Amino acid sequence: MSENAVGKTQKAPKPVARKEMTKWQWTWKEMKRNYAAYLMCAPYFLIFFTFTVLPVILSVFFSFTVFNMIEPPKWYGLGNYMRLFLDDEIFIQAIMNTLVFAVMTGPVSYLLSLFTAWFINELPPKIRAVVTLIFYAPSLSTGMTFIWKILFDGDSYGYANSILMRLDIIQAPIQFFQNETYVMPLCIVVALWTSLGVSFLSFIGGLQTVPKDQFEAAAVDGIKNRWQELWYVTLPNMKQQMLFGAVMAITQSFNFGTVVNDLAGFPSVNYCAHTIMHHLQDYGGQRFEVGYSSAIAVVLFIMMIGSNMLVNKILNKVGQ
Amino acid sequence: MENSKLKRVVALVLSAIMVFCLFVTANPASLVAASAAAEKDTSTTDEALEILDDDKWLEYKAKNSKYPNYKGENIVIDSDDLASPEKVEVVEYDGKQNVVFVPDTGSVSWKVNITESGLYAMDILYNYLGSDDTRAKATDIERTLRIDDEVPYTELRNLVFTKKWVDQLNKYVLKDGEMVKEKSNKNLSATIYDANGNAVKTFADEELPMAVYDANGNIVTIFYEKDGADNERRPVKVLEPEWTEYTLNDPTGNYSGEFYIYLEQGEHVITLEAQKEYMYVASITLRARESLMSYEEYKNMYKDKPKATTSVRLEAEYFTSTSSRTIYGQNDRSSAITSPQHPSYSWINDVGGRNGSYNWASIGQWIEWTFTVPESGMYVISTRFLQDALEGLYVSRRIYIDGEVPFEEANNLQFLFDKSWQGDTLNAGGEDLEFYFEKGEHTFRLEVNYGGLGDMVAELRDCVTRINAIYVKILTISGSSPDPYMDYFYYQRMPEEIQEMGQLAKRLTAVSEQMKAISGGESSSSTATVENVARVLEKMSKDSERQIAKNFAQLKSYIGNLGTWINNIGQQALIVDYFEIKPAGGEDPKGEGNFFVNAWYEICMFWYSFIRDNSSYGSAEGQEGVTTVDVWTTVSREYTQIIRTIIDQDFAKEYPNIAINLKLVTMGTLLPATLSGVGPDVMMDVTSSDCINYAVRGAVLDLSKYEGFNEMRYGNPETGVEAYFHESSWTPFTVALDSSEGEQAVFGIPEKQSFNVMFYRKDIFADLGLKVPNTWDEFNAIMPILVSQNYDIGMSHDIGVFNTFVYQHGGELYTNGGTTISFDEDVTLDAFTELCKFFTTYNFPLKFDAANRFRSGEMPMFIGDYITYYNQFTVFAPELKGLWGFTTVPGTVQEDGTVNKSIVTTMNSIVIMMDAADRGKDQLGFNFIKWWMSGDIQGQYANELVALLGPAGKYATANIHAFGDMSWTANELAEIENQFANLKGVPEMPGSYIIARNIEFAFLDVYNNDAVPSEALQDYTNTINAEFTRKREELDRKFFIPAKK
Repeated sequence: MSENAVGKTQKAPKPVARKEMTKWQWTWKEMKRNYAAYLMCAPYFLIFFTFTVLPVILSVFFSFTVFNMIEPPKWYGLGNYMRLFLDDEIFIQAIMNTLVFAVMTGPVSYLLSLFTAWFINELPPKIRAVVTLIFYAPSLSTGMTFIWKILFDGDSYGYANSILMRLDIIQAPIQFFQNETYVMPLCIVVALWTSLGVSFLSFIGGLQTVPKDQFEAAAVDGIKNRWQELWYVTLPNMKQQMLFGAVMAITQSFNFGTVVNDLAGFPSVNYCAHTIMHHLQDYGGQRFEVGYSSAIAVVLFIMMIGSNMLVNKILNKVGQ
Repeated sequence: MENSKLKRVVALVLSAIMVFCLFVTANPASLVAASAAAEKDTSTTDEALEILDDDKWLEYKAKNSKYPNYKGENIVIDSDDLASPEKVEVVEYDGKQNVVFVPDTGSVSWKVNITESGLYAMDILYNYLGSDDTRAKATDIERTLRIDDEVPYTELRNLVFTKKWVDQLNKYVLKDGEMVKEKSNKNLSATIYDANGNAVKTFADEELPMAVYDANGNIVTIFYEKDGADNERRPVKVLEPEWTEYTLNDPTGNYSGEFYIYLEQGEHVITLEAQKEYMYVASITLRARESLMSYEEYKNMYKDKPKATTSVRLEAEYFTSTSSRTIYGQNDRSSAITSPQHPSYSWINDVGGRNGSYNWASIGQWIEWTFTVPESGMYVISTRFLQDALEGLYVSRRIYIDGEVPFEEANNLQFLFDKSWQGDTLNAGGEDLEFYFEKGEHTFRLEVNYGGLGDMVAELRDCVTRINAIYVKILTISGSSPDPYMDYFYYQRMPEEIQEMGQLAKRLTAVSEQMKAISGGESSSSTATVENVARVLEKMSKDSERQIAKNFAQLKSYIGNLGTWINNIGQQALIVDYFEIKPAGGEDPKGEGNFFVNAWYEICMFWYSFIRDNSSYGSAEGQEGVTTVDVWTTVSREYTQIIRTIIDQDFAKEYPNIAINLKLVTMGTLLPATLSGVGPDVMMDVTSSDCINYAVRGAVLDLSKYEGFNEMRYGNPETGVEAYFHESSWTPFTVALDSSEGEQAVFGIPEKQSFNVMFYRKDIFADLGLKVPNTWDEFNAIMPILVSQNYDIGMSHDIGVFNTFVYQHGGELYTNGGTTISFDEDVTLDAFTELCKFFTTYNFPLKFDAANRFRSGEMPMFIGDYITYYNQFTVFAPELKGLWGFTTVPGTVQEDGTVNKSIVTTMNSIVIMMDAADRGKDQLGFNFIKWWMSGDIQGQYANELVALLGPAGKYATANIHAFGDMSWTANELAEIENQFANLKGVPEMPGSYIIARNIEFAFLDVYNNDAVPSEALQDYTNTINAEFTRKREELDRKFFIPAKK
């Protein structure tokens, strides 16, 4: 009897309308229906969740505690944030430095990448390949900064010092990376030099995917010069690459810490090139204050998301 | 030499005239200066001057070979002839009466009356302490020989007397019909079989290692002890005292044959001055010189003797004795046919060292084998060996048969280069050497020497020394980076040197021709190294005014290359698998197996890699009653392997119930591992600040409560154990809880201890007539002299040096029991001002490559970490051997006139993690630490490192008793001990990271922006104190610096 009943319902399921169910019920139903798809993305989701989402959530949680990695965390409320914004001069300096770096290595290097890519794209293919490598090489490895280190070494045998001393311009070697006057400018130069990275490559790739017929069509439609061609044809075609490049540039500019570490040591003299990244490193790694460094991380996270949204908006204006 | 003597006379006359002129002009100020200059020469530089003035053996030979050889009876000098018998201990030792005990410091002299002027050879009958004497050390004995208080030639400054190390083996002689089966996979136990293959006797583990001899007296096999994974464990080595006859010869190995000394008729005093180690001397014999016969003569002598018909096979790892503790049988896996070989188990199957090894590779090291021939006759010695060390050249050995070098050619047995194993018969120029052995037992010894390369190496060494002197001369004229467009008047200022450069170029070219002759006329990288220097020198001498400045930097790098090359050639690494003592004309041993043998071996290896885990070997894990203790270390892989071996060899025996699981990790792993509860029980190599950081968060244990701690710290008169460490080493790890007066806790056991010393170039100091400064006042006095000659002085400005100044001024880094910093105290500010002054007023370079500048002579004096730079210079500047030294850092003169030479030390520690207590393994872990840090084990570890890494492997152990075991010379050891006596530990407090960076900021402010030092530093007082306060609020545990008693 009951078997019959079950069999009956299976044979003729009662049609269900979307509006008869709550949102959660509907989702659950859809999930059951598409279980194969969920099963397939489960491994990735698990890994992504455990190693990317969970740490973010955890670090938000820890930012409200005092935690030294060994003993259990203690609840501290908004204390960390209060201290961060009200009682930490170095953090304010770090925000300033980060913004300077972000502006320099973000937009400046972004535009630089774009235009370099555009110029290089005009070259014959074989030469283009070589030139691309030359421009891309500096960002291949972070260790490349050692060239700058030798160039501006504080030893009297460092190239810059040696030349300046030989020309009798200076008498004693200048400590380029240990003098507040020089550290920031040098780091920015090196940053720009290394920043022609992934975004630059994607631009070159993007430029080559622009269909030729559109240029012809544009010429027929009355494009007057190369600038207009760039603005109305090339760039709108590369929106995806540009968005990717922008996200990369922003992430890079906020993460810009290792180069400074390599060049100026940690911490840089009088915190003159201290960025939020360094501040985070300092508290998390050296001072064992994970709660406080989590608060820094949260601030950095919010800043990055904010600027990403901003960039998205700007990019939508391209070609309009 | 004649020439330079003349120069010295001229110089003396000139300076006398100058002093006279001063008297005439009666300028009091210059008078004072002159007399001060005269006083400057004192002991430290005296020695350097003396070394520089020494004749070399070749010069001595050239001067003295005109005298006749002594032909009379042997003159034996013994304890009756002592110059001052009352000061010397005359004892009975090892079966001999009236022998002289020569301690490891000071000197002992004998008087001898010579009736006949002439050239004498010298033998010394000596002995040494056995392993049972605690004073015995693992190093060779070194002495300086003086005749009438003079060292006749420089080679006699470091005479090396080797000792005999013997493996501790039990002995079993096979009875008739008994046999040992060949080692195989199935046959791993120590069993003896009868002719039918039935086991007759199995040795228990306690009886191992067991050497099994056949009835003839040859070793058939050695059953070694096995570790937990059935790998063979090498036997323990002991020093076996033996009366040994030492013939005066070249300790540097450049010249073969015996040395002589010229003695005139009359009374002479022979002195042995201690450099290293104790020794006993029974007699010194002066005798007629003997020269070795040639091989032709040797053959003639034995031409009636029959050719042998039987042969003896002797595994090289079954040696009788070696000259060093670190020469031992080892396991080769590279070749399928090395005997005995197993694709997975590690069997001891050869002896020696591969390319880069320092075992049986340094001049003078030897291995001795014993064998018995069943019949008298002429034999050859064949061997299977691997020489992959010196490409294009050969590695050389000298053979002693029954203690004597039989003929001249035996001095130069050549082993040619090949990347794979080779088989060959000992030969001279292609002719197999036949030796006569009477029936019975014989020994032969292979000693590392340069063979035919010796003359070349000596010549090159001499050239490098001279070129260095010229380099320094140019440096004083035109500075470290001369301007090629400027006139320095080299011709007027150093005419002799310019001439000498030409001669040196010719000498070097001659050597390179010689080298080409060895490799059959071909150029190689070796000849290029020599020719480069020759070419630059030639240019410089031909057109000095233009070329010297231009090629100066080039010359520097070329000398460096040459020095390194000479150093490398001194490492004559060779591995031997086995010997065959057999009749001439047979086949040489096979070098490598054939294709099928090799392929099968590889397949087996591959197969075993699945079924046997060789990485977790060594511990008795899994056995009943055995607890495993996890120990983590962060040193390199090579170091870890050595630690592992020592644990297996020694700890496993002493504590059979504790298995050590040693893991190599990076420091970053510790924190997450501890957090998740899978951390180690014992962590090694923890810096003092990490130690306190972990402690204040409750992650490491207070060790002062454990059994054995007090013995470690204070010693125990009852058991004769002395305190392991210098008291200062404990300071960083000791804190008081609650308040300064509160209970004390110790969170780490000192492991490594390093500190600064002052390195100086003896030759440059001697040249300028400067005394090595003992106080900062003296330091300041010689600074202008060095600076005026274009020299730099090197010093770091880090927190270590800063602290040194603070402590020398009588200050402390912390105040108020560690709750505040002392940056507002006058003492600290004075110390900082003094430090800054060196860099601002005297322009010390802030950044420099110390090794490079010290080597080139630009920076003849600098203050740096003793072990780092000692190692660096030893390897980096072999051509400067003996020309540099180190001494204690200058001190500050106190008001009462005493000198405060305090210096701070940096420490690494071993800690026990809190988890160990939860797991109940804390006391076991402590036992491990106590064992590991004991003097014997640390000494052994240090020596193993040297054996692996060479002279650059010196290790900065914190155990003060281990130093004696290391290969420091007596002088170096004395300097280290002096510095040890003045060490100060700096307390470590939570939040201390903030200090170093703020000192750096303050310093850079002074250096870059001309800030006033005391103000710059004082500015940071609040920042630092605020951080301290914050840390105290954040952390539950409060640490204080213990109040001084």
